[in-house]
Amino acid sequence: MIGEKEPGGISAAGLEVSGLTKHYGAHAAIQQIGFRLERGALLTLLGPSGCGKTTLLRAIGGFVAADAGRILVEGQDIGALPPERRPTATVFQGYALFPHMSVAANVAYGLKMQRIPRAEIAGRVRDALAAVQLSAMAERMPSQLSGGQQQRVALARCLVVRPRILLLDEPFSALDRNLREEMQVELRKLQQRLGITTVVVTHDQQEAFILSDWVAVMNAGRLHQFDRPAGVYDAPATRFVASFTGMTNLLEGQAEGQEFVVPGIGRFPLPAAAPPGSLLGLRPGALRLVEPGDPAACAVGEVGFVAMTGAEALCEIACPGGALQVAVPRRPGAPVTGARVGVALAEPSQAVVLAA
Amino acid sequence: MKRNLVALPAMVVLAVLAGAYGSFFATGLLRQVPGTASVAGPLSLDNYLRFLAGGGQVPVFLDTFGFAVLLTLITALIGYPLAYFIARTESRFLRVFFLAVLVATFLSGSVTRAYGWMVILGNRGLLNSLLLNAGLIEQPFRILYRQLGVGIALVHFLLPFFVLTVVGGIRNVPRALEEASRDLGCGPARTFMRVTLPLSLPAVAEGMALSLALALSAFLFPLMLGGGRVRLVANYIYDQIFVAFDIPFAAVVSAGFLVCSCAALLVMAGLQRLLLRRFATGGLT
Amino acid sequence: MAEFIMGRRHLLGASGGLLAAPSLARAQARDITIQIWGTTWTSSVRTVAQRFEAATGIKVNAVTQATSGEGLVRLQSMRAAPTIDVWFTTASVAERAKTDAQLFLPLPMAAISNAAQIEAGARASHWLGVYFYQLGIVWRTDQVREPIASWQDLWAPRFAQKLGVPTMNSYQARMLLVAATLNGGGIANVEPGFEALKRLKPNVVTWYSSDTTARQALAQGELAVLVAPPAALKRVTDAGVQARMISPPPSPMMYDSMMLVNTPKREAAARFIDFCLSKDMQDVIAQGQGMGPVHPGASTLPEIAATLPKPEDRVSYDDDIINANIGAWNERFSREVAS
Repeated sequence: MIGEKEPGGISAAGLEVSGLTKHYGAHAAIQQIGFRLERGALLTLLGPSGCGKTTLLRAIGGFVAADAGRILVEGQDIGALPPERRPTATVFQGYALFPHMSVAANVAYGLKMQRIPRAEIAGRVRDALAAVQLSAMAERMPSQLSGGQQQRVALARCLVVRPRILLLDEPFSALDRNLREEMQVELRKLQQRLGITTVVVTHDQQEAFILSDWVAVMNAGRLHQFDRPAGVYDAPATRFVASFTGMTNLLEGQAEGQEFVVPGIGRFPLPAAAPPGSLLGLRPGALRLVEPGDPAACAVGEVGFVAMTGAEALCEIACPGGALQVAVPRRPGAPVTGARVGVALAEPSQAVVLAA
Repeated sequence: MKRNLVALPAMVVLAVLAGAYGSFFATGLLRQVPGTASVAGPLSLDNYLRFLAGGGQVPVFLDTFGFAVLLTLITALIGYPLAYFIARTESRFLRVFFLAVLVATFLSGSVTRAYGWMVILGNRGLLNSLLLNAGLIEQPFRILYRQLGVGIALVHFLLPFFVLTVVGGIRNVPRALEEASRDLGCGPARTFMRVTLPLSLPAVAEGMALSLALALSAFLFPLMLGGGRVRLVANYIYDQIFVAFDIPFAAVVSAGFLVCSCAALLVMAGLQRLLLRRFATGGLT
Repeated sequence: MAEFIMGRRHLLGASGGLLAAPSLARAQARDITIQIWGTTWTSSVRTVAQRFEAATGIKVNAVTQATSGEGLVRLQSMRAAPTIDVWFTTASVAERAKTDAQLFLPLPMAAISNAAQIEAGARASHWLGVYFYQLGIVWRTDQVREPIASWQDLWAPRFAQKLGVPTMNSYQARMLLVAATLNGGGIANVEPGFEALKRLKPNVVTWYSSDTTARQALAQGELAVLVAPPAALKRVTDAGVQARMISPPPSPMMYDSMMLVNTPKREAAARFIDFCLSKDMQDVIAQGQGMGPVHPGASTLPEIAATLPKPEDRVSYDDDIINANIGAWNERFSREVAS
């Protein structure tokens, strides 16, 4: 298992998955997935579409029957239970609010199923709506709400049944950018306040880093890395994790002493405790441009392409053995296409050596 | 302006239809020349008054509406589970197979089908032979030449119309809603009752309105399978024209029946609108 | 007679023929169109038409009708410009139809030389019988052991759920009139007839309006006994069923007839009517239909001839009275007997 940690201590983890596998015909949607998540933590399942993250979430929720493996919630194996008997609640992509019921009735739905007394239901629904700041909307129909409001109803509908595990499938993908960031923060605060073990599916690394205690990076049905967000960013465990999280310079070469030599490009200083490996990973932001003759220059090339990305500009530097991507601050005197420049490493600790 | 041009063909068709109806209904103002098949003036409302006074058609109208409503309900009861199965089965093969069977019933002509029912439902037919051989009955059970046989043939005729309408309605209920219900602690049966069924009710109402309209206008199956005992409004009108040759009164009965049928369908349409407002799936995925 | 198969192809052919010859001189008509029951066409008149075309060069197109009544209403709907030149219809409906002087022509007897040859009852101002038949009783000998001897036998308990009986509009109320006559009434007093039909209900499987389907039911064994004309005997024995027929008194006699429609092709149409009444064609028609020829020199099949009633048993009911009352009788029948 790659990057497996022990976050749960001795007591049962909030969620523990082991050996989870699901095939659709010959195609393996998820293979041998395993991790432990401590109670109250938020995990995001991060990966491109088709990587198996949604299948994994649906397996936890009970909508996909796994071929093999176990799912334990606070020590209890829930793998054989139908969805309605699992201690999980899901915020579906698109929210899946019941269109023929009011906001209050949507939120009360799960409680009615538990045959909770009417008076108690009313109180809990009121509290849940207050928690998502929708008290005024209780009698509206879902179609009368904005996307953000609908999402909060979906959240309230889950929280009100007090699940052990909260599952969210791409919860913010239907929202526009500003609202998305606002809702991400809101969800994170609410989740921390309630201390509920949560799993979120996303394809957006930014979202994963903002929300998470833990990130599980997946590709092609496999779990590549289970780590803290900083660990994923700073020390990608595989070439896939590196490139998926924006490490665009992946250079083949070999270490020679304290330097990593990339044929046709140059020599890069390595951090002190670099592991052995034949691949050097450098984020564009870990590089800077210098004069071609600067002693710090690790490589020399020609500016081929400049793109504005906001506060920074992304430059592509053509070297004889390949291109390097370098992010530079935008200020007067920025490089122009065709100029000869040197490329230096901003900070040796930001260089990552990968096995392959 | 462009829109008007596009609507033109539809307007022409409507105008021709309305004109045809209009001339037929105007015939109701004339009267039959006794002993002949001819109609003549002067214009009078006598036939309309005779109709309103209950010119023999009232029991036929009541029978027809009662029978049509009964058939519609039976069709819905049989058709809904079938539609649900087709809409929700995981097996593509089964879905295509059932749809193909339903569509195939559309393709067989009514006369062919009526003869088919005679072979199946007769006292010496397949069904009775089966039941006799299985020892379930000792005497052939009379199905053909009475209302039961006509009803079976008509339900079979109505089913594809109902099912194909409702399959769409059920498929439009997002799976995610059923999953959300399960997720919130509701078992499959209660999920069906609380989510799937209510949200497919507008389609059910539409399918029932279609079935009702078709059942009300049934003619051939009562004639061929009813043994002379099942006489619906269409058969009554047919008799007025082709036996009594009283075309003016037939026109009046037709007009009256059209009004009654439209009223019934308007009620169904109103019900559907009500259900749609209450159980709309639109706007949400 | 009734079948529920519309001859759409025939109809198209007919209208095509009309378009092709809009105003050709009467004598030069290249084709005519007849309106006829489908079975009658296929079982004999088509052959006659082929012989007619061979003899005269005039092609005969056919448009089929389910019933005489349907045929009449269709003709009336095209009264301004009929596309049908000769209409085959039950004589009683012909009596009703002939009042429509715009649509139907008196027959030019001078041009129809064979008309003088046929039996007198088959000859009227506006129609000429093409064959005759009686309403009798046909039964399957495998299901009915003891032969039927009289109409009254039909009421016997041994025929419970065994009978197919024509409804009011099939054979123009003849069953009602027979039942009335047997029970002391008649055409002027049908009350005993209705009472008798009500008593017949337990024995009746189907009150039929389509004799094609009724024959089918007899052939399949759904019925053991059918009240029908001799054609039914021919059809079911042709289908391999062992059957017999009796024509007990009163034996109502009927004609199916031909009428001349008011069209420009009337001369060719009259030639065709004449052709149908020739001795040879009468043989073809009577034998093909399993009915009686109207030409005294012609003969039908021996087994059909054997069913024809003795002259003293024959009755014919007044079509004018039937036509005046059949609408009301049909309503009463539907309400009191068939329901």
